[in-house]
Amino acid sequence: MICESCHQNLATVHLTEIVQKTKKETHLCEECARKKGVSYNAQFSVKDFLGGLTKKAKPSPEVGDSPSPAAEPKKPCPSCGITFAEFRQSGRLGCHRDYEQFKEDLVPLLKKIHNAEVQHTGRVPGRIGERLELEQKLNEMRAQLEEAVAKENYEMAAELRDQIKTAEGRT
Amino acid sequence: MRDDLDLTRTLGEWLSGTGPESDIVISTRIRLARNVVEYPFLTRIKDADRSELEVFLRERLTEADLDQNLLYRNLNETSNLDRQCLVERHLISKDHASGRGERGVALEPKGTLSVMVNEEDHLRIQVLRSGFQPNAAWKQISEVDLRLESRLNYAFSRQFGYLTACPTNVGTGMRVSVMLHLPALVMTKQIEKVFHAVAKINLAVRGFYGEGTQALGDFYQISNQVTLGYSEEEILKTMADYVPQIIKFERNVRETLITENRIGLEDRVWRAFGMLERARLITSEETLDYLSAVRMGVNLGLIDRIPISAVNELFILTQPAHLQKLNGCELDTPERDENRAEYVRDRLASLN
Repeated sequence: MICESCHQNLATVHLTEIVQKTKKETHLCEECARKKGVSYNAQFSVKDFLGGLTKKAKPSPEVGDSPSPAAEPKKPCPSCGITFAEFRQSGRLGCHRDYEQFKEDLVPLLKKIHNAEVQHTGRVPGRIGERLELEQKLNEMRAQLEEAVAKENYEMAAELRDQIKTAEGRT
Repeated sequence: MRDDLDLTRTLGEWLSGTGPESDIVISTRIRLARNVVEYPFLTRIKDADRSELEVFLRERLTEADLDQNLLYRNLNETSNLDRQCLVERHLISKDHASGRGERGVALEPKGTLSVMVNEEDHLRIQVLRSGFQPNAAWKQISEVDLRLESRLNYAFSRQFGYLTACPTNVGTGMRVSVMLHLPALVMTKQIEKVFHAVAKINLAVRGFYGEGTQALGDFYQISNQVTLGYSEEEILKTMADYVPQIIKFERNVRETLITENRIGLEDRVWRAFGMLERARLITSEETLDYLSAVRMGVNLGLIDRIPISAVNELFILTQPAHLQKLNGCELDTPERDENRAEYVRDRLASLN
């Protein structure tokens, strides 16, 4: 693609502006973009980025769409009182419970912001880490119990059942 | 915890100019955003709870014994000038300085560690190191995070990670920023290539004082855009993979400038030096521009009469708040320009 301004160089700067709902695309070479004073920093503003995305956030499903409580995400958070509309305006959530409260609307938004699967893969606080480990151990024991029952090893099954009961008490 | 604060007497470790790749990388910064489950985010908190939270977090920070020299300042009880000094040192954000309500900062006097209390999130832990050292910075901040974690109930979800007021920080809550000095890329108008390249790999470019600020004196901050779906190690690796390429690009262009037009480059560097040596009125923006050229000149061996640490020091001490602090009283803009020119002249003369 050739620069629309000088008609000589290769256009490497592609701008999309939306003015009064009309999309306008401009393709410029680096030289002309600089002359026109195109600011690159502006393209990295997190607030604008979020603002653009939240406006496009999925509308809530119609009433009766689904019986689950998550189907009415427009209700304010019972804990901090913020509504999803208020969040969209400010770009800031009101409390940590909002992530569960507005999960249905937040997940697609987070997917776009982070351009990744909405699943944390980093550090886990120690307390929660311990619980995760315990649950993993529990799952292993449940599998062993099933196996023991299948093999009709009832003595082992009884022992495992007691161990599971004790472990469950700790979660 | 100590509570005295005179930043003009102690220069930050990150200004020493001794870290790896410090001819191009000024500093490596990591910050972690953390909230506790007992209180709402600061956007929805009541004044009384906000005050209670400030006290609660200050006490936990003190108990955690993060650094023997750690000092704590309540920003409501800190003068505007001191708050601005902290911003110029990159120890608190502009928003935190100009904010309202009970809030504070815990900091270690060398400036490698600071913890903002009641900023956008309950805690913003920051480690700032000289040169390019993402792994050392991570090691330090990780230790601080673990110590605080054992005393606090961090808001965390298995799916979303560390829960933050703004969804752009959720997940690891981690932002790694590397401050780069790229005068040769700016001079040869190749800096846009860097912007395009980093945008493709989910990195962001910011100005001298972070998000929404202008690039001054050829300084750019490169940081990770994404905090969810990638582990801390993966984020660090992205930085470790790409930042050295930008460093190499800048160095190559500097070399080309020297071989192809040494006299042109020398002229530019010495003119800047001459301005700083002779000017009678100078704005902080102008000072940053000239210091930027001089900094490159020193790093390339074109100027050998001043050490790089003195140049780095001038970058901070000529900023409006530091200048007023040094002067011992408030100055309006024209007074500052005169005072700044005098300070720079004297400082350079003392080095000759």
